[in-house]
Amino acid sequence: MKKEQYSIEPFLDLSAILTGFERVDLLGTGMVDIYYDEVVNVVGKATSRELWETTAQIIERSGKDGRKFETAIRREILASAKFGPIARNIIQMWYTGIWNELPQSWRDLYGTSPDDTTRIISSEAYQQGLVWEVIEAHPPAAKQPGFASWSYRPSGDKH
Amino acid sequence: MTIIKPLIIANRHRLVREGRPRIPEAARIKTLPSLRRHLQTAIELEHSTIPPYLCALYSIEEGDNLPSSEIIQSVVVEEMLHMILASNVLNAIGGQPSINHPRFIPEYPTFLPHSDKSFEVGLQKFSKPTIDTFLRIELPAKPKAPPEANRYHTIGQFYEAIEDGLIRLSEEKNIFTGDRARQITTEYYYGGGGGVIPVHDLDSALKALSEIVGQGEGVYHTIFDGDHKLFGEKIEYAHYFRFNEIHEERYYTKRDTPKSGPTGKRLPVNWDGVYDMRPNPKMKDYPKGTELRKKIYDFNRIYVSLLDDLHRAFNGEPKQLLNAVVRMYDVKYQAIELMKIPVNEEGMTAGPSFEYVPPKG
Amino acid sequence: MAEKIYDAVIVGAGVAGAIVAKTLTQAGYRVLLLEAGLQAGLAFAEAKAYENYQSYMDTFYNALAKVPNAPYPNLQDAPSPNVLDLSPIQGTTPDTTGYFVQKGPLPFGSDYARTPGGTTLHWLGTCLRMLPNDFRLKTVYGQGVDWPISYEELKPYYEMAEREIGVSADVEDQIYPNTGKDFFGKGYVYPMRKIPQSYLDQKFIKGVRGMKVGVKGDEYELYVISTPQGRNSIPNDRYNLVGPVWDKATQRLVMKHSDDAHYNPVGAIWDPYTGQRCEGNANCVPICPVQAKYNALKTLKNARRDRLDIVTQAVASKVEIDPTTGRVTAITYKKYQDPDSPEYTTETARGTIFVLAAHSVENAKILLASGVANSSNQVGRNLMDHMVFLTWGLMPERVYPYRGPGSTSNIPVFRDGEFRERHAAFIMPIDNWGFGWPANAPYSDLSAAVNRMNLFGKQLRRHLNDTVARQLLLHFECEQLPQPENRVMLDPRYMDQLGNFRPVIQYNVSDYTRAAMAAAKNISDQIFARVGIEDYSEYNPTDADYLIYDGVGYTFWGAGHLVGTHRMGFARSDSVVSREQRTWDHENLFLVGCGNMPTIGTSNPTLTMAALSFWAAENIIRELQ
Repeated sequence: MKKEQYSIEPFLDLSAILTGFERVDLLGTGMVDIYYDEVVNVVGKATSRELWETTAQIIERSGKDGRKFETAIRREILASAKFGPIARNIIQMWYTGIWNELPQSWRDLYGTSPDDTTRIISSEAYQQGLVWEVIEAHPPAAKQPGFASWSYRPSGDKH
Repeated sequence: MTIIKPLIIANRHRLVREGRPRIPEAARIKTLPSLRRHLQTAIELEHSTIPPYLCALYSIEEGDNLPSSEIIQSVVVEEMLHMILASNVLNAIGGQPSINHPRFIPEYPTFLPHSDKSFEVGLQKFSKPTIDTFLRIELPAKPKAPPEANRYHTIGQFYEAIEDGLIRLSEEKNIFTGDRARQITTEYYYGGGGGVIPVHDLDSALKALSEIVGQGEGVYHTIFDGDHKLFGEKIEYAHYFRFNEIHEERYYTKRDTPKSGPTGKRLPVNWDGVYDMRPNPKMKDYPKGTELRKKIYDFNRIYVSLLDDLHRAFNGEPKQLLNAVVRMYDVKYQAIELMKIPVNEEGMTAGPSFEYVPPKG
Repeated sequence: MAEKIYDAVIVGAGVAGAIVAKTLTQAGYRVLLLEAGLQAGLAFAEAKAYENYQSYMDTFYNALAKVPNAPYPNLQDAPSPNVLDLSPIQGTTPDTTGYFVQKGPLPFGSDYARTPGGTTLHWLGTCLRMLPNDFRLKTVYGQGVDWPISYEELKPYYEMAEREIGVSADVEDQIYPNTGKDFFGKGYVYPMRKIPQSYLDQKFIKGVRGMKVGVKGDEYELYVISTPQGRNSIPNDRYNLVGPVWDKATQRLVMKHSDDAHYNPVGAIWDPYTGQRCEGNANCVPICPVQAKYNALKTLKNARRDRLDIVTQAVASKVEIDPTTGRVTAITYKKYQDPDSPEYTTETARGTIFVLAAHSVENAKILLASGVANSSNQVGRNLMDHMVFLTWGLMPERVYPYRGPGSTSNIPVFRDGEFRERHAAFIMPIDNWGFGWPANAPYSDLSAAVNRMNLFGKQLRRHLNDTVARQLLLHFECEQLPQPENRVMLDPRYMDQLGNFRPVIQYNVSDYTRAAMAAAKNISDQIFARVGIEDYSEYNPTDADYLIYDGVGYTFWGAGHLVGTHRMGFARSDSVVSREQRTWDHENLFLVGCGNMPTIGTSNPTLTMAALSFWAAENIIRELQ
């Protein structure tokens, strides 16, 4: 974790609450720095800083666990015209390794970046997609589980 | 002079020593229970090298150091084969391999089980000193070093003592009384050199041991001063030589001898393309209740389930090896996740601790 | 090289060409193989082979749409069709979006890969033999045509193909309608034991056990079997065949029995220890990362390389004929250096025998462009595919799809029966990959959950686990009959940048096959009701291949099984090749590939095509003797 702690920490906390994964699981993908850069690069330093600050304030106010935290995230981030589309993109980025072009209405208001295109962020990003773990499978062509694994119920070791 | 003969298993050629080991009276294994104990130790010994090898392997960043990864991977697969072969010999003489007891996994860093304690083996990231340790693990016997059953200097000496015990004891009576259904058969092993040998008599037992030693250490007595032609297309190099290629960052050629060392083309090694795993990780490094502690615990639980699968496979349920293989993949992915989790300001990372945890009840 | 005269010149390094090349070189003949794809794809040295295949993997990982051709280079000098180019055809204007010029009325929905190894790089690997009645459809059911080869005759060649491909299956599981006891030879076993059936299969089997379905007043009892697959599994220790080898005495290719014969699963071309078992990558299509699934490069690697010359980046464009003898004298090809540049040099390949193995559509194209082998006027005609009709829904409990090979079980009940007098036969594979194919799941599920349902965090995880893990997809692969008007044509208005023709395709689906889709939907409804599956199937007029039958709309998808464009037959008047696989018109020109198949049956055609390739190789050796 070589990034400025101040920024990475709220990003990691926000990612954890949005994706439903533990911070340690997100760190285990090796993608934290890359995804952080991706967000900052596409939405810009000012907007991303605002998002991290808002997250940090929510955490300061309501802690990191429980309903109170979730409600605040929903009201102040997901329901925000400015932060909502970014937050939904952060979820999908963690789940699939894909950055989705932000909605036109958002781009009109908050600006466009040449990198704001729908694309797979990298080979590694695809292979670290979390949606596959959510459905107790694995990314096709990555993290293969071995001969005959498909004939058993998933182990559930991680759940 | 040592005579070297080819051992051909599944179309692969390997060189092993011919002739009967010569063991001094005092070092001999004299009873069947003692022979069984030694084979159980052999299984533990073969296993004890696997966590260190896996740590080095999984610390390599994905896509980097492909030749080194392939070499370590091939050695690990063969160490697993050696566990199977040692279990087959033990089962053949009526023993019962014990794989899932709490002390089966050594506490790293550790001396190799039953060794002369000349060096310790730890859980370390891929590095030159780590490969140095691996070379010592796989070191062949020195010339004239007599086989020793208890305080052996090399793994080869230990197996010579077992070989000698098998021969002597079966001269007295038939010791191969084990249930054939407990043998692991060929269909379960793949992805590496050599092959499984079901054991039911002295001949197959000796073949199984040759396979272990042939793969592990190569030809006895030839490593430092021999001028034997040990390398070539059809010959699988013993582990020592494979690690030595990484160490020297160069491949062996057909013309090379142990004395010459590898003189072939460069084997590129990027010693920096590695996660900086903090050595010898332990669960207790992290406070109870933390996410990371739980994650390492989860890793250990999977590893212990893997040993459980192996235990069942070696004790009458060979089909459990299918489960074990699936579990091995899981072990890999969980270990790699840990390797990516930073644990301090210097950027060192967590790692798999390979500690025994009781099965979830 | 051009002036060297080979025993045989083969066009195309896919499975058919590879089998002929391997068989001929092992019998001692000198072979030239022309391949349109890139040189890099034919690297066999470990490091280079690995590097090239990893480049396919990397392209795959980074492709947003992971369609069958996604990993492989699409070359402007040798373009491939792509399913992404499909859309409904508007009126009579041909759709020229992709490589195919689609005249319709329905767009032809299948693709293939013009790259070394061919379409086996992205085939699923299903290896079912055709059924005896498939070879005599006209005689038994009054439909289509009969083959000039019977199942019994082809049987030994199926055994060769099953060894070459490395098929995993248990003979005792393989029970098909109307085949009798002698379908497999006495004591025959497949080289490897069956691929384990998926957890999902097991749940589905439990759900339909003992079930009877009614179709137009007839009742059929459903049963599910494991599917033979060309991917590595546990070797069968009872398998004892080696070969095939050329037997001079009988003038045949034969398999030999040997008690020491151990079948050793063939691993990746870059490392024999990689891919010795299927590792469950769940990605057979578009690319198996470990090459546990067969591809034609494995066959080529085992050809005798000292007798085989391969020229890549060589697009065959014309078959040259001696007008007096009718014999082929040479194949002209365009050799390019840069696949994106229109520059090329024209070269010729000379030999005694010529073999087109370029794929059914490409073979037809070369023949039509050369004006050869077409005295029957059948070249390019009778294009067939399986109409893949899909139904999908949520199982009542989690079945954990997206794991294992694409399909590990099938219902064979409707592969043969008297109903074939009225509608097409179909096989019903049970799919392991959820709604991925028809609905782009799980991406679509995620998008809906996040953007429409406004879920996040643990709730999102629970929702996806609850729904996606219950997804079930059933296939119905419906037979299509040979129809002369379903055809590949040429039109000088549509050329690629090397000046070769693009295939112009005219295509439709007859009521015989449409009726099978209606029957399939009816059966699916009964199964869904019985098992308690919530139906999510949806067919829209905006789908590329949407059709109406009896007032009801259905969508089908291409199966990638392109068959029939230069069919074999009993007579030169209505077929392009004889039962020898030799063109009626040119005695030293052989065709191989699915184009030779007169009908398609309900088997994925690769295994049968591979068997026929051995059959053809045998005839070629006899000719060369």
